[in-house]
Amino acid sequence: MDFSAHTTPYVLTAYAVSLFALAVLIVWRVREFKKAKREEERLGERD
Amino acid sequence: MWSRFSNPAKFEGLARIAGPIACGVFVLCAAFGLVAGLFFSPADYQQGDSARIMYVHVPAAWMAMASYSFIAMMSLIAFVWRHSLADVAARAAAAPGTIFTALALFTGAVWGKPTWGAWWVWDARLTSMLLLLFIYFGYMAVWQAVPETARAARFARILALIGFINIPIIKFSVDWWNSLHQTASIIRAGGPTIHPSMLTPLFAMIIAYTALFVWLVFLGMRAALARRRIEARGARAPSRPAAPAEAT
Repeated sequence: MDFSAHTTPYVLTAYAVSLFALAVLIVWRVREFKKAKREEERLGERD
Repeated sequence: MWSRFSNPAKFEGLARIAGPIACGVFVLCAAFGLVAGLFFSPADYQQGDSARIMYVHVPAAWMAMASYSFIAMMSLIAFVWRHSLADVAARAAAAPGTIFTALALFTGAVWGKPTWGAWWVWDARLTSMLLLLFIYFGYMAVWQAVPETARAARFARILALIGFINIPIIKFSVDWWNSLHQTASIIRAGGPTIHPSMLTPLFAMIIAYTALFVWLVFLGMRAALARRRIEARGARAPSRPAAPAEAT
């Protein structure tokens, strides 16, 4: 691979933003799921 | 088969198995696609290395449209067959679809600058994709803004089905109008025009994004069903007996 100085910033920006956005989406969804499951288990124990 | 999975417990059983499988497929295909796309596929003879943006732009654009098609399909199933999980599935797909659309627009702009000399042009393909983003925002806003779930679902279904008209417009915009955006290179009569050395990492990334979408929808649906069960428990909880009146 031999990136040219002209195109490298564009390629790196596109990949970095894509990976960051997908990572944020994954973390948000997983946390939302875990929170709901914890709440449900807590209610189950209380019952 | 559909009616089998309208039972939340049966769906939960499916999601517990299929979700992690989808996650595994996403990780493997993304790893292969990123490495192959960045380091082993050739540069384009005209665009040079900026063509490597294709490996994140095209999957995002495909999934933006596929996610919305999924939402529209689930909305139709909810309308016609009253499938109990169809609305849950549609709502769970909205956030991933919105992110894919935003990424398609962003990576497209980043690719357009070195290729066309412009970050943005108001051509048919780009404008219709921007409209899709606004439709996604509107869809999510309907769910948030209407307090009663049943009413929100009704409005959301209508919006999803009306908004579906934009999907074939996006797809065929490059054929119907004079668009700066290139015409179809993969799904076209005569087969793909992309060389296998580029097509392989591209397909790997498309599979990765699809598997990611499946995993995230399963997670979103499981969370929504857990919240539904929590609300049902809260509604069924016995109310406290009133305190006895004190003698004066």
